[in-house]
Amino acid sequence: MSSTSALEVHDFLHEPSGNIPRETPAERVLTTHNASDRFRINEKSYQQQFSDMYFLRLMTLRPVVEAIAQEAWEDFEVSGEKAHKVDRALDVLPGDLCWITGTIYMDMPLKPNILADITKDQFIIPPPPREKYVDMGLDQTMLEDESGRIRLTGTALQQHELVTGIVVSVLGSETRNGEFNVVDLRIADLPAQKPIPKIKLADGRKRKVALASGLGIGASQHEGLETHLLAEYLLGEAGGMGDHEEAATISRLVLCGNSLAEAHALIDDIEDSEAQKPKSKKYGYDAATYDRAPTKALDSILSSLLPSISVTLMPGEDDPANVSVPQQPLHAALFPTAKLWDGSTFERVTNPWVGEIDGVSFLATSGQNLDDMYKYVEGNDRLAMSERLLRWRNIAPTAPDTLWSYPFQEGDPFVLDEDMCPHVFVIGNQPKFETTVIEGNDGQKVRVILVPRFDATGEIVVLDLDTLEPERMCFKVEQ
Amino acid sequence: MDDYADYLLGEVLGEQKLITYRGLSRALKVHVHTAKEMLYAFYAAHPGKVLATYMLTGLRAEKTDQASDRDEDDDIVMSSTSEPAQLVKTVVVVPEEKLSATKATFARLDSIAVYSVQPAKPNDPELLSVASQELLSEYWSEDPKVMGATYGVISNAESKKRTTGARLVRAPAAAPPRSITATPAESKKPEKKPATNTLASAFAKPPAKKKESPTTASPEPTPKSKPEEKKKTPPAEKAKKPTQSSTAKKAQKDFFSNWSAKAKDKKPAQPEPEPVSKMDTDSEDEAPAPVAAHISKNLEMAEKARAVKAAKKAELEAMMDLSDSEPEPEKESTPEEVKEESPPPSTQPPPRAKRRAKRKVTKKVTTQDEEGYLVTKMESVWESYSEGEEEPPPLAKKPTLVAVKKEPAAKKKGRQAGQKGIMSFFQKK
Repeated sequence: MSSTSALEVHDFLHEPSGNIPRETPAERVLTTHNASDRFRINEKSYQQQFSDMYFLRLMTLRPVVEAIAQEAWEDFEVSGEKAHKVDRALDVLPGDLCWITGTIYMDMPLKPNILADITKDQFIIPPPPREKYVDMGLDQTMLEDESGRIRLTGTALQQHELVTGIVVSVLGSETRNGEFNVVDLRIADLPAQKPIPKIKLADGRKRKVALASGLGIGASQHEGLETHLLAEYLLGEAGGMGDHEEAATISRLVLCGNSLAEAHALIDDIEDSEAQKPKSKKYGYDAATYDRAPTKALDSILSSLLPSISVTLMPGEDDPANVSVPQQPLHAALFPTAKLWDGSTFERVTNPWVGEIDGVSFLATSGQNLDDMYKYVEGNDRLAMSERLLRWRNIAPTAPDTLWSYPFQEGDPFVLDEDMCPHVFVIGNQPKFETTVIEGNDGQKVRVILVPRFDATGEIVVLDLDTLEPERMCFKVEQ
Repeated sequence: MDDYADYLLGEVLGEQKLITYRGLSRALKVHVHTAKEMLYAFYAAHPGKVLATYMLTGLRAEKTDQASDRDEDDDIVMSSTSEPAQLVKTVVVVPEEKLSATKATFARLDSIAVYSVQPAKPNDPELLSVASQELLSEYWSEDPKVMGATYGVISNAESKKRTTGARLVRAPAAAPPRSITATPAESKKPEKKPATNTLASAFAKPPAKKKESPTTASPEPTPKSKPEEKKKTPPAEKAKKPTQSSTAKKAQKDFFSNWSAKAKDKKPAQPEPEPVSKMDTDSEDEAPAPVAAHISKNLEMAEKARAVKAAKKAELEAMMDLSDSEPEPEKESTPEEVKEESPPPSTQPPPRAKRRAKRKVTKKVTTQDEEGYLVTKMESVWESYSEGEEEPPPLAKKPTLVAVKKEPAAKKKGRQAGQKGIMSFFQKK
């Protein structure tokens, strides 16, 4: 924000003078980049059960949470009775002050229920999906481990807005009703963080990364001008010399999902001669219902950007990728031109995505994880929710319950391993831009950024890699 | 430099087009900053006749009436209290009538420029993005590295466009690449075949073929136009070809060896979704059609290919009058072509006729019995068939060969060539 304040207004409202500064075009600042294949699924098999994910999660996080609980509650005493650890939820004795570790399960009557869906009358219009599942009074919180479940009660639960799938330790005692009255609760908290390597460019230029989500390129053309403005800015064509210099410091554009608008049935173009060809349907592909225009538009915008700026493309909810998380990279066939930069500046990645840009580790999702968690808790504070995702060490706790997920067998990739604490946590497709820094006990600092949908707000976020300060940028067409 | 005024006059006032600064910079090959100034100069020179939109960049206080905030009441309170007038870097495009109002909202203006000019008429908001979209499709083929410097696009040392093999060529459009991937395979076969395959040798005119095959390799950059020119001027072509052939053929051979290796890997498993190979099987039902018909079809296509827009229609037509169009193409074709293609029709029919035979086939027969039940039985039935149906490869290969000769890059041919490739796969078994 401050770099160009000294500059005069660069105005072009005069006769062509021909004195274009010779330093244009500027060289783009380059950054090194590593992508992790943590969320890649190479062989898909749906033979296995989803329950393994909960088991794996518990196995990974239990030692961590138990260690934290041990430290916190070792000396906890109530009227002379010392708290002690109980290994299995079913071994808790009534009246015994103890702590147990397990996975939270939220029993919410408003949650979508597959059995209820099947038994329901098929002939009425289904109600629209709920914005929230929360219903105080009906919801029950359970703690589950390998042995069984125990219902949790107590006021301590209220302040911890729990969701299904997180691993916690709870301290308390069993009541006469067989419920566990929670006095205190511990979660895994942030894992360790690698230090950010100190990189200073020789010429003192900044290094930045642009984050955008929800370009929402659809078939209708007039929505797209903001996207073109974005491209013009990133290429250094829009604005004056100050803008050009600033744009040159952006080394990479990360598109956090929903680059294409939600797919809709194609009706208007049916009269297109091609669609009417009798042989249009082959191999289950019906040319009449498929609209190429959005992917084509995305492809051409990407290929105009790629000669100049690196682009990391994540799939999102509306994109033509698999629906369940982790979404696999968008297929190269969607980008006949842009794919030619595969391996140099074009990178198609998974959602969620883990990567390093100049040593700064990024963890980004296209927003489904937060949107789904949002339904479990009251309130609108998405920033606090994303903080909790990190502190729980699970960026998609509600998978595979209400967030569709691949049934992992070897390990749950959504659980943050030790050392995996990102420096920047990005969540795309949010209603508005928000940011905060959260800090851990061991000096971890995570910059959390909620990136708004570009098609709704015209905003992107430009992150400075040195200071990790995000800055909002707005592209608007005013008619 | 000064011809920009003429250009803009013609485009904006003559053709009634909307011109953006990017469009102007691409059209005149000037820096975008110069183009912005040109637009203003033009706008100032024709007051009242043209409308302008402006692009402003700078810092602007965030507006509080954002739609996204409105539905979350408690958040409005939060943001308005905690961060009062937050300055946001903004790039905005406004029509001229709103310029001063918008300008006033900026806390700091970094730049101001004319974004586009258009003839004074009712403003259509779509025009701008349509123009931007067209720009992308029109100039995508330019080398971004070279042209970027001219236009003032930030350069990137890391960016490398992949240019290996057929993949690059496949990118621009679906059709031409197909013909290119297929033709090398096809054109190489004749070089091997003559000794072993009698049919092929009867039909192969080695010199002619050698002449032709390089042309299939050479038109890569401009697949459509080159071959056509050559065809129109056969004498000049003969002079040209030999010089090309030596180098081009080498390149082609290398190209082919890569390709064939790849193809071999792929054939057994078909692991990756390879749209081209699948598409080629599209027209499988046409496979057993007589060679002559194919030739005629190809020829007809060659004619039609000149009118690129009508190409699709042409295919349909060609398919429809497959049977009765045979004589036509021979009239159309050049003498050289007639010579080449005359052998096949004469040699073809006899082998086909000889091969009539019978074979035993197991068929499912469903009948209804006295009680009204459906009974399905497997029955052996003798059925007459012509071997031509089962063994098209020798026949099938020729048409593509001819196809390659006639018009290597004609779109529709590409598809057929690929199809024949599939048939040869059966022959090996």
